[in-house]
Amino acid sequence: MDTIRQYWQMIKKTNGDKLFLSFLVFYFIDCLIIMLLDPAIDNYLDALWMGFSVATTIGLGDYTVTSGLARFFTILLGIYGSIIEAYIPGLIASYYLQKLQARRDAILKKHSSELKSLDSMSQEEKRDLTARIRQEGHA
Amino acid sequence: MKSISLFSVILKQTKTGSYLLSFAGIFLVCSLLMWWLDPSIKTFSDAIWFGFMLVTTTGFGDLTVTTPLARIVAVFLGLYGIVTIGFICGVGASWLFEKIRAGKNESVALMVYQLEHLDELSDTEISHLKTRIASVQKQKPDAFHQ
Repeated sequence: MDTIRQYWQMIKKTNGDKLFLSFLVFYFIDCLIIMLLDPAIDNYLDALWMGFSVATTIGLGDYTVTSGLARFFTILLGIYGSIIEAYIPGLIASYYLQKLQARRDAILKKHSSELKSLDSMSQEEKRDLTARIRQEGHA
Repeated sequence: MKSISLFSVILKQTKTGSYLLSFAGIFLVCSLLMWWLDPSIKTFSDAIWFGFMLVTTTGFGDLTVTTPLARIVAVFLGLYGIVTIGFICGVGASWLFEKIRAGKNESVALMVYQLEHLDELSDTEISHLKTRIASVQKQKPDAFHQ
């Protein structure tokens, strides 16, 4: 749950929420336009199914469009979809790197006095300190 | 310290193993569901093949589903597949990023790993770590002022 909240904060920071939301609106409208423009697709659910196949670049090919204008709107959907797809790896990489940095800073801040005497510590003390650090990471 | 590669440190920290394992489970469940819900998926191997086609976004289109429920499952599996591919790309990008930092002796992933395994470090590694800690604290004096 905490992870999801952190992801959402990161999405908001990079304006990803607006990107996703406008994509959804665009997707539903674009599918409607495609259905109206093309004779091969005569039902909105089929249009949504084809739109999904286009936007995710899966491209099952069970439905396709032939009229020029419908193809134009399908191309727009495909381009928009691949932009959304490209956003995801970047989001995950920056989430992990940022979290890592925050974790390091938290450790250094909390144990700064103990870490100063690191080289004079006995093996036993090191084991104890590192166990506490690990525990904080799991909390 | 027994030598451990940056790559496996990153795999551990991002929990890639358990993520992929849970993905495999959900993939199997979704494939079985589509097999059960749709008449055009006739065998178990068809179900796996169709699931693979969705998840990797290959989409040969030799198989497809038509019932609304099976399509909902297919949409879910397709989106989950995209997130998973994105996850793998994200881990790969993080690894490259950290690899470049490690070349300058500035890897954050390795530093966190060492802080979590202090008792396994040799004396030289300890003194390296101490210098690193001091330089990080110098970069951000406000954050570590006590």
